[in-house]
Amino acid sequence: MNLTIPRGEIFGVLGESGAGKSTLLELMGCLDHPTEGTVVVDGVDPSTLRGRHLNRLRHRIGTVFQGFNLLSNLTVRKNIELPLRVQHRRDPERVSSLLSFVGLEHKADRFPAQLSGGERQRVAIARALVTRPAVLLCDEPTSALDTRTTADILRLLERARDELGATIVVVTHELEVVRAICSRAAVFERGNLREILEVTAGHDAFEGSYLEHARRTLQDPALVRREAS
Amino acid sequence: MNAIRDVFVENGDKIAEALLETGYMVIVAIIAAVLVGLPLGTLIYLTRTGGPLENRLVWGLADLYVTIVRSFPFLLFVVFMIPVTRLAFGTPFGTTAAPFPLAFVAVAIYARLVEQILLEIPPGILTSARSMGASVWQTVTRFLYVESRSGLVYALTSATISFVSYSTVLGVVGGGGVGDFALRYGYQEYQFALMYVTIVLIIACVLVVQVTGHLVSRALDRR
Repeated sequence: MNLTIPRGEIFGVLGESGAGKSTLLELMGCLDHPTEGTVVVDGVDPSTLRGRHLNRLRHRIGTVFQGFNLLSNLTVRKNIELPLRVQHRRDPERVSSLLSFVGLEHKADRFPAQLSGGERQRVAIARALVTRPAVLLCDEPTSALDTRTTADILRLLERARDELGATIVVVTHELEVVRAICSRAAVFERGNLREILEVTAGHDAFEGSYLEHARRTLQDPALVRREAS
Repeated sequence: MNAIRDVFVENGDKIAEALLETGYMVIVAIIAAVLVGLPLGTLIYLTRTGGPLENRLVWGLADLYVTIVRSFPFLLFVVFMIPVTRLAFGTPFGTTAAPFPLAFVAVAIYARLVEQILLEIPPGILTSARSMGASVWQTVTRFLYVESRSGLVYALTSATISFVSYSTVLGVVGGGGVGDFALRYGYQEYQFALMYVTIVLIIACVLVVQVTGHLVSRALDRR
């Protein structure tokens, strides 16, 4: 398996559960080392590093999880600030600008329990981006969210790429998510990378109302077009 | 009513002294629980199989200490510890030395509670600490203790109440305290009004601890 992801790309990793997506994510996040072969993250092989040096490499990677993994006893602002504190840095302006980037300035002093699922994921994205990571890894970022919220989160990820220049890897089992924001996607089956697909279908999977989305997903496209005209 | 008033008129000084002695013993136990029990419980959590600092030897030793000390009937433990207390204080008896064995038990009790509370933290918190590149120290102080702080306070409250109960046994090594006082003057000298008044005082103290702990714990919880 050989896989290179250029800067500024939103890359999809697809597969059913147990296909090896999570393993790939752990390898890219420097949370695990491969038994064979090498992983190179930002020009460095993490398996050659230990302790503090390995942590320093992890500082250059942001991760967004399916379950958000926010600290429930910290406010939104403190949650976003946390990775900076871990790196012994303080940057209140950066925190504020990310708060407004994800549209949550007015909820900076709330706690995660007071937020909706989509808002929590926006906090998680702000938290992952606060340290200006080279790579943003997203592990099933929308699987716990409904369709509309998913569309919001995907738009936010696109803006993160466009405005903040992030390279984004989205691991998901949802084909529509990949279709909506990725330019390429690796498809995994039973632990193997089967193919890297160029995404050529339209990027409109999450546009329009819920009804339109339902029509698109459930009905024959030719039929829908006839009804509309 | 008169009987109760007489108890205070005749024994007020002694009751106050006994309360102070109990307070001293319990505070020593709380300090030991926080300074040693909290790190020990955290160590057991970190070194467990699958933990961030997995280490069978350290885990085994720490867990063994907690298990052994907790399985001792406390009265026997106090007697068992007499030689050690003598070594540490020159004498195993008296108010100063008495809380020494209680401190060992306090450490074991709180360590076990801390371990259980940490095990209840969602595993995602540990994953996110790891992915942020947090050191073990940061994982503990910035993630685990932050998420579990209300549970830790509440557990310390329960432990404190156990310490009050355990402290009554320390009369056998001259620790004094309200328990010993009630037993000696109330039960053995047939002053039952004195005994009941003392028991009510103990209950009142425990209630204050319980309510305070509950309020602090709730104020800390944002989940």
